Amino acid sequence: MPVSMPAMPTSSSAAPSASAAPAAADRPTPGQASRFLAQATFGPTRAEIERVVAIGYGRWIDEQRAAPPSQTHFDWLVATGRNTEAFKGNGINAPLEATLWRKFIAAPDQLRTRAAFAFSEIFVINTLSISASWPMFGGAAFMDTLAAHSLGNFRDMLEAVTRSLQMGCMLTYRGSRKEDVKTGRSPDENYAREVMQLFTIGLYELNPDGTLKLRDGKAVETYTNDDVRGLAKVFTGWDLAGPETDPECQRRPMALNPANHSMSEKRFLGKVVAPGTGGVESLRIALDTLCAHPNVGPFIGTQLIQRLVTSNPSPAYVGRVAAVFADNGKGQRGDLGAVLRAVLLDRDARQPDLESPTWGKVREPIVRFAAWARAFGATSRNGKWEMPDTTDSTVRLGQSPLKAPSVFNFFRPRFTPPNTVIAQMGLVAPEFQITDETSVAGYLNFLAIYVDRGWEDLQTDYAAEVALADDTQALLRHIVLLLAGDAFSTATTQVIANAVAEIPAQRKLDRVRAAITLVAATPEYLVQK
Amino acid sequence: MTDATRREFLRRASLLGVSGSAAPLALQLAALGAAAAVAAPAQAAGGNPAAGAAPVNDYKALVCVFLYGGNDPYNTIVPYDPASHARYFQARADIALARDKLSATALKPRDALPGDQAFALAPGLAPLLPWFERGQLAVQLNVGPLSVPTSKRDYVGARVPLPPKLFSHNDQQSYWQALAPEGATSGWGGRLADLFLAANGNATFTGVTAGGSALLLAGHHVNAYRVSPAGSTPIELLQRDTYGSSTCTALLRQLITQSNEHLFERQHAATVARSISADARLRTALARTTVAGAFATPLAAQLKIVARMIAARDTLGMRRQVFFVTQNGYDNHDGLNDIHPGLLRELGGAMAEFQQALDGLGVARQVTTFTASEFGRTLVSNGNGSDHGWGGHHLVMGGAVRGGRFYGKHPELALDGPGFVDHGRMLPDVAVDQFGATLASWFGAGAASLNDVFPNLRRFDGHDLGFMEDPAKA
Repeated sequence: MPVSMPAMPTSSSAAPSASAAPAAADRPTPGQASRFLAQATFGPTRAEIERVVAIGYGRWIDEQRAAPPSQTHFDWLVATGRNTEAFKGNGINAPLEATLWRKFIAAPDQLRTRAAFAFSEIFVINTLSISASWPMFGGAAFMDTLAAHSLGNFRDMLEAVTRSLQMGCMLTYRGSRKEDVKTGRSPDENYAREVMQLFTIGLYELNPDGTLKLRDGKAVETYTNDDVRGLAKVFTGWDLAGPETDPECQRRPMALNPANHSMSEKRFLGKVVAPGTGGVESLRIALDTLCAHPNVGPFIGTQLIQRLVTSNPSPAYVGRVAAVFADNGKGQRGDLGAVLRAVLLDRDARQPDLESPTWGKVREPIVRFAAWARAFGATSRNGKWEMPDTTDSTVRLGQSPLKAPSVFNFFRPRFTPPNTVIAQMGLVAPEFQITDETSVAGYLNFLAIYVDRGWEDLQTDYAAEVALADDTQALLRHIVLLLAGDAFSTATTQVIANAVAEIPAQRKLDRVRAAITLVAATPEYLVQK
Repeated sequence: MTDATRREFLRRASLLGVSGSAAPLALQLAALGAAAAVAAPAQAAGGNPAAGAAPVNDYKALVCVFLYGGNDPYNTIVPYDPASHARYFQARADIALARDKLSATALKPRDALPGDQAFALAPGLAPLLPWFERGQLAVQLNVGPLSVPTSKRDYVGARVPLPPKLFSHNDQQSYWQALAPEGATSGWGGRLADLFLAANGNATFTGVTAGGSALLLAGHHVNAYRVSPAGSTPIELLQRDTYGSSTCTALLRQLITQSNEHLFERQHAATVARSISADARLRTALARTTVAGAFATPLAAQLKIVARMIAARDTLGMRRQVFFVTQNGYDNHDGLNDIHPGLLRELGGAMAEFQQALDGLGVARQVTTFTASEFGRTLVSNGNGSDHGWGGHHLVMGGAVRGGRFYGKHPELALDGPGFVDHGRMLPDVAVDQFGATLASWFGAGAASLNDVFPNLRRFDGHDLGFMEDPAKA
């Protein structure tokens, strides 16, 4: 067994010198660079692979953190003329889907975009739940909010999410009113419960490495229903800020209506907010209390690792990431840029045992499709990116961004497929919650469509691949590098190359399509490693 | 250590669970869930799955309609006698249904309720009224997850174990389906179906979901099979030569179905293999079926494919099946009276149409349909909705149902009374285990098996709530 390489640096305190070549330990092979990019972006491209090889992982991350944010979804919708009365109602979402795919596939600030998508599966909204005008702009604004903070600070992200009209609608506390003793009316408890359970601390107290903290051999619950009821008072009085005269109403944070805010005592998580404390101050105290909870680092850290790298990280890996969440090396808590750097540069992520039967994760369908487009240079031929809903599970992905069925996302972080060896071993496999006898066929059916002729205006001519088609060995090495990096067996590469070679040499494009289809269909690719 | 022996070492290490310094979180939680239940005798390894079941020479199916989000029980089975309605209205004036809107769906049970108690179906469930009147629809009142019988004093005084994570969507969905919190590896519908697996000519179709992921249907042997409303889904790439190459097509089939060492790869390939083999069988069988009805809504479309699969039962060689369909949107913290009526219209219409179709197929007495939901909701309003609750009311429909009746008791509508805890949550007095066991008994499970399928059942008086006919008469 080879000696493990030393851990990659996990501190952002040492600024890399622009002129220095990366240290030998940080100079990846193209295959390693590709695998890294599959974790850090929506998928490798030839240019990004070359970039990572040239400057190393750490500098690539630093570049991405410093990259200017690309055009927001909201601004793209305005620029393409969607800020009109025609788009005011609910149910018109196609342009939102267009801009989401546009950035997943083509945004140059890929780390920020990929991280925002990961956070959209923690802070989950569905555009259909947005009840104010121009809900499509609401979906755009929400994803923009996540992107704005995905390399920033967790506390800021949580506040922006909490104040967003979109989350206020999704979890129904928009317009929630203080308790009324006469009628028995209570504040809406929805957000109060889920902000703890899903967005910050989870259900049970955790050790810093993400394992359960036990007391007398039992898990310790993080909150009680009384905490939910106390916290619910904090979220009273918040509502849409200003009139619904244009899509900007979807971008403005909710405003406090003091008349509807509960001024009674608020008790939650051991904190007492005195009677008479107003809404803005109560919110600050609540969010500070939540963000300071020791669970947040391991809880959020585990989910980021799961979304980007592997479904079942070792406690040591979680512990290292959580330590960076707690302190980024400069005494700052909740530095998400540093946390993502820690997730991606950790020795477990960079030097995994690629032969381990439990390492890795199922690539979720949205990422598979975007990865194909990025790998093979697919782009919108007319600049419209008009790709409709991909929710259908018989001929599409069974998944479409911002279309999760509930705040519990498309899949739970602790989902384990029942009655399987995976479950018997106590492992989780979140993406298997949307993997079934229908969806596996649907993915292959959709794959056949887009590999063959692109999809709607998203097209590619496979020029680089056609140029290699005379030599199917070279073609396969190229395709495998782009899709799976160094985590794809030479044996499978070989059998695919041999099979593709049986397609007559003059049908170069068919050879390319067949090769891509075979790689993208095989479980060795579907399980990212 | 060579690569080959290292792989073997790692494979064994992973299987033995020694690859980490601590057990994965899911295992810890699942173990805690298991500890919360009475340890059931483990089924003997390799034992006959049909042990404990009566000989099977007939057909029976259970159909679970899971109302995701937590259905509001008070606006579904609405208090209708004047005194109860007044208390209901007072408790939730913002979201209550007016009494005069309920007269058309007032229920006249065959067995009188205590006092002057009366209920009406929500107007959206009007299509189900004829089935109640004809004795094929029963209402089970106030059922929910319980570890042991629990009084309000027990609850407030923390005197008895409670189900884990009350009021939490995902854990209560798991508890309703598996009697264990999230991370459970089998559901009671699957454990029940395990008992009858040997009777079925095609094991794949023993547990079928037309909705999404269905923990309810996972057994120790049974796995849920997912159909779309159109039936099974063929893989088009395998129906023709891939880019004109039979070699590529054969390789594709091999690659997507081969059993690799990686556990996730193997699981994915097993799902694909099942998809391919099931499609070949099911497409042919369904082509010969006809089911009357429009089945226009998403829930109705799910029930239609269930009806079609029931129609194909003989072709498929099925004797016992459990089906799972789902309807989203019941988490009505907001806009209860804007959203809920539409959901109930869809539910009432779909269930009525389904039962009509089963009548047409001549299997009304052989299929029992029931609703389930992770929890009820608070009696009190939050302004225009209700919050997560606990006990709820559920419907049981079918020709073998002793319908036209209510089962269980509805607590007095008083927040400070013994029937409510935590500011408006109805404390169940019937356990999910008892509700499920009543269905399972009818399905054919013997008394001894019920305790394996429902781990806490022995803690409750009576595993038969009475809403099903004696299975011997079925």
